[in-house]
Amino acid sequence: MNNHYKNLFYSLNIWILALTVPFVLAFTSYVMAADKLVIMSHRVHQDSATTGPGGDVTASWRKANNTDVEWITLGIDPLRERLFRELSLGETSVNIGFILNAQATPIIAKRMMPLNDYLTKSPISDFAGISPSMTKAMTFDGKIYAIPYRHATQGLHYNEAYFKERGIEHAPKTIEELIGIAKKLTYVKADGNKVHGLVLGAYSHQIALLRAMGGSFITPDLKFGGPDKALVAYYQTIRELFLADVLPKAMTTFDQNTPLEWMQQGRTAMVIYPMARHVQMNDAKLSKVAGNVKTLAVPPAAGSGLAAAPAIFEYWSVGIPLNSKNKDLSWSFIRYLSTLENTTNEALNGNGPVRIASYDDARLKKTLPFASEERKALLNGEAAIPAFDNATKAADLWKEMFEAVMLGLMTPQDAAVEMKKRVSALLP
Amino acid sequence: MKRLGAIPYFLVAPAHVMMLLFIIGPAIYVFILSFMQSNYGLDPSFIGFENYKKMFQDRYFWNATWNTFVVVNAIVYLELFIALVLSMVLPPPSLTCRIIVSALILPYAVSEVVGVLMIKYMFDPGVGVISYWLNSLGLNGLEWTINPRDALTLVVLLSVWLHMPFTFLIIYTAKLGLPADVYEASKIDGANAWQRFRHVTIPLLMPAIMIAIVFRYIFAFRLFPEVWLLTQGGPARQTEVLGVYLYKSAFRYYDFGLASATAWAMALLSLLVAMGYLQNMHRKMFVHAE
Repeated sequence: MNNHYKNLFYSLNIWILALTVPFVLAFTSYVMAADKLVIMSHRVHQDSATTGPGGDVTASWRKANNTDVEWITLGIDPLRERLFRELSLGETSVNIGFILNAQATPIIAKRMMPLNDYLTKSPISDFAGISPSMTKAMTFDGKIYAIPYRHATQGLHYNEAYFKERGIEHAPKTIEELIGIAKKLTYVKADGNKVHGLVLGAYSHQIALLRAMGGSFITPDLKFGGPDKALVAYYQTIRELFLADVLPKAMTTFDQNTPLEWMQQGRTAMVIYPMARHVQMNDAKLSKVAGNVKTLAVPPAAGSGLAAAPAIFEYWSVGIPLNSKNKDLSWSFIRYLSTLENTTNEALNGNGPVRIASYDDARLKKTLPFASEERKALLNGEAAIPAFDNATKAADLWKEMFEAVMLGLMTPQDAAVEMKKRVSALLP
Repeated sequence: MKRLGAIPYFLVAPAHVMMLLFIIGPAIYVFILSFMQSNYGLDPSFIGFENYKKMFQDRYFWNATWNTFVVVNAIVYLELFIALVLSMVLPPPSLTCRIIVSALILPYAVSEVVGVLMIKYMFDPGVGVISYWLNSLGLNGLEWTINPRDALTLVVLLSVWLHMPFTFLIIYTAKLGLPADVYEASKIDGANAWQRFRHVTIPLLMPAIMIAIVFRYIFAFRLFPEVWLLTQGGPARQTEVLGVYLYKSAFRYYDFGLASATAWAMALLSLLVAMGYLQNMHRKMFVHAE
């Protein structure tokens, strides 16, 4: 072989190798690759499962199952939109989806896999330890479609420094006391900044106050809550607080996060807001009033005999799309996330634990100063609005009537009558 | 007349195919959907005119229609008035003029979302800088968070600020093209400034004004981000416009049938409003020109 052919031969070999090796490598990695579990969730779910003092809870499961976990995280509304779209497809690549309680309507829930068979064959340890009111709300026609994972329970956050400034010596013990204190805490500070006594941002915060005053919006068994007298009294209080400038004018434009920002900026003395946000309210990097915010369960009505008002919570549950593949693997992951130990570790990472027993953990008690208050509230709680097909319309109706009364567009009596009529038409 | 071969049709075909795929196709699909009950989790089913019936029986639809009608008219005519005044008072083309025109069209370069959020914070009743100035002057600022009328007023102001450059550019460029001899003739005939404006400028600008009005009507009918980002239709659903009503039907309640019916109602309403102007334009620009 002369040099010319030799060179050609070597060149050809190099080309063949260059073209073949990537294919071989790709094929090998495909064959050797770990399984993949695709989870669609909010960022808080990923963070609480993987990052923080509780460690990466998923690590040992991933190793034991030789499976990678891919998190697709989205904001609340985009998540709902995308997950619902995935559920309505012929087949989805999403193995596990996180869903908020009010969004898990019967129509949507039934696009998830019923989990009863899994719970029988391969049960979650101490399943009864998970908040029964939450698991019950995820059950339709006797079948459970999702397992509760995270809750946000409404509590009362108050700025202790403002209390001292206005000569108020203790936190409110009853809801009547809270309303009186809110009026005293509406004032202009020496630096010219206005402080509002109380802020109620979203419907769940507003309904928490109604529950504390002895009323209810929609009961877990899907009846209009009433009693009418309590709703009228509640509306009268809202109007009174607005006229006294306790509730700020900007409240009609608040989104879910605005009350937190107002508390951090020192623009309000009290908020009814998820207890877990105590941390952000006292974080010196985020809050002007860090160290001054205390958190309690919402106080009950005077004479109710309760230690705390019936709590309002929102919670996320985790389920398996009916049109997904590899359901056994998905169940294995859900089951693993839901053990007491992992629930507690997730709580240490910032999750609201759905097991009461997690609150007995010494590490959690040390980390969360409001742990005992949250435990107290969780024992006696329910969702702001239970899941049913018109739950979103009911939430919007609540907001509409609340604003109409607050601004004086309707009288409390008329609003209570109209609310009853219109909510009843939405209920199944 | 020479017959056209296949090539010209072939050359314009991509544009038609695109239009078919992205405009006509989806419009037909939405039309079909307006006769269906369609929701995530449910298979679509034909329900005849039920969505239209539901829409016409809903008082919030009529409230949104009325708000849209009032707000759109206010926006279109306020923009037109401002654009016309600015076009008249601007100096002849020069460096100064270019700088002023650049400043005037600047809001058009601002993203709607950014613009609305910026204005929202400036008008915040507690900490907004404009609210603060107005209060300092003893004037009560717009109470847009609690007063629906004030909220819609702010929507109009905001929308005019964002979109006026479009109307301005059309009218201003048309004004630059007006023939000078007609003005000379009117001056010789003894017309004063107002008479020249009324009887020379306005008639000559009318085709451009018509185009600006028709386009702005059609665009303004789809009014959404200004209202959604500012009030989300509140307080108490008093500031909802048709765009917000449609969005809530589709993406909050997932009632795609009702949302499709609303979309068609919006398209027909804007066509109805535009029709008068389009007819007028056609008469003046083509029929009289023959």
